[in-house]
Amino acid sequence: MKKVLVVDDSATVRQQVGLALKQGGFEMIEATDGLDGAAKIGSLPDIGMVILDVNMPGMNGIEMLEKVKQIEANASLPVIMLTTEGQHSLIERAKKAGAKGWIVKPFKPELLVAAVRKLILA
Amino acid sequence: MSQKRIVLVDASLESSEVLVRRLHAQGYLVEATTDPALGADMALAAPPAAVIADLWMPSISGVQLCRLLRAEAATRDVPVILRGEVDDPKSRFWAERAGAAAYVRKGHMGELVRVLAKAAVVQPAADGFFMQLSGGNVDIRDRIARHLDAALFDSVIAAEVRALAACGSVDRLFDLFSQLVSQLVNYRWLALSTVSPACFGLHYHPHSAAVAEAEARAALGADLSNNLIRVADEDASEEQTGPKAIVFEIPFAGRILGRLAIAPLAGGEEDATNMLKLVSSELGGPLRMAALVDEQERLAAIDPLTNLANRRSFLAQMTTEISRSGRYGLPLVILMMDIDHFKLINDTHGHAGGDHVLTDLAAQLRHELRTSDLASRWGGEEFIVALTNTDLEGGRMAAERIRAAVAKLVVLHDGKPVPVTASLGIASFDGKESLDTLIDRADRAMYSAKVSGRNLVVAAGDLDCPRDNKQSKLAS
Repeated sequence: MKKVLVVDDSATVRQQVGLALKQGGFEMIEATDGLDGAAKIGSLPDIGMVILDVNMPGMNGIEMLEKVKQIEANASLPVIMLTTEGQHSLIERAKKAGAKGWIVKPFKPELLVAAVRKLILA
Repeated sequence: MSQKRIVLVDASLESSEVLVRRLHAQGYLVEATTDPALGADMALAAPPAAVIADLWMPSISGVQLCRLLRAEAATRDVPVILRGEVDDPKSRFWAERAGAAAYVRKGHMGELVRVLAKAAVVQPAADGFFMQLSGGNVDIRDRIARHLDAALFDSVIAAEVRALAACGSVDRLFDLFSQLVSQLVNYRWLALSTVSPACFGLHYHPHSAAVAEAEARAALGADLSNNLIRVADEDASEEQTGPKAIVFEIPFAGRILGRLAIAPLAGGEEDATNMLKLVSSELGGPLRMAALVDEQERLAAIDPLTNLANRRSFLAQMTTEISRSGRYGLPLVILMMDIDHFKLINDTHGHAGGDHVLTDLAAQLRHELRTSDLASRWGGEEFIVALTNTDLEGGRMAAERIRAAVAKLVVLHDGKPVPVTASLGIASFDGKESLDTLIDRADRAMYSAKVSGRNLVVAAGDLDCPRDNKQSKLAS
């Protein structure tokens, strides 16, 4: 099965998400910021979807999303945003850039996994 | 094709595992939980193809869960299958009323799989951007409480509207109905128009009568000349202008009985729409009932051939009228009229000809009377009229006018003229006699007119008994 790329500058969040994914039967690939995440999408072929933080140093999540989605091959790659942000303008920007969903932290593991399952198997 | 996702809420972990395996084998993707609140969260976060839950669970029942999912926009179309330990009508009843797609007995997995195959929906393609803005902290119980409250309010209002069925007349129905609605929503005016009987009810603030009437007429396109029921009181808002009127039809047994319109206040459009939608869907039964009672009473009171009051309703109304005249010393004259040689008319022109004479004569009689007079078909070819506030001389003039009008009446039956005359007897109320006696005196006077040659008016005092002084005093 394809793996889930988790892009977050917080190791704790990556660990929490990884645990939830593992319990749901999914494997995680980690990236620590937007540049790292974009690079991994470009180089690793077995990424089935992306869970993406917004506030990160260097390239933030929205910027990364926009950059990744400009590449034709990534058009159908599902991305969900996982963030503490809830600003309407940010959500709209992510939606416009092609994100599939917006989950506000703290997240409920079961719900996150349900969303992942739905998108990765779609 | 993507797998169909099922959310399973089962209080028992063991039975849940067996079921999950079975459903997996059938190709479903199952997310199982023992916590109904979590199950609701999962369904709301990403609407599944179906939700399976126990009917009775601790903390949140399947009924509540089902109502919640029905009420939330995200899961409105997600079928819910409820399960229970027993297969009894009561469980099925509550599952159905909660909006469940099916009720299946626990353990009967084959049935569950069959029901699921039929009920499961395909969720629209994932362009549906989802949000879990609550961060997973949605209080499902709060939402359920809110939906249950809303359902309770609706059912209380619906019950209040349905209870109006017992009110017994359309007039009273509209009055009580507008009292009810004015407590629940603010409006400038509320209007009801019905087709059969044609009737129009309007509730408005006394200061806004003209505006309300014009607007209601425009909104409902109704003919206000028919049976207008006006209820003016200050329950309605005094505002002279506001948003456009909202109109709903009143359905009953597959047809439309009438329409209901409300003029909301600015900002209150949504409330008014919801309220009107609810009450208009419930008003049909009570409205029909009230109209039937009205119609029943009308039919029981009139003579179907002539449309005059029948004998029973004449006597009922005269019982109050005569005691009123007695109490206030008001003059009152009873007039009896019998068509001359009616048997001959029937024999010559047939019964249809006779009926024709009766209807034409009744119409003429009505034409000659004041609205305060009460005319009735006493029986056969005999008519009785109560001339209120009229003394014997006034009665004599009225009777003479009627006699002359009848004699001039040309009834055309089958193109042939049927000449008609009538004999009339009148009696003036002496202030203390019984109704029976008064009618009897008028009847005997009419008989005297017959004997004296027909096409005549005879007053009770003219013949057999000398005029009573007291009666003259009363009459003057």
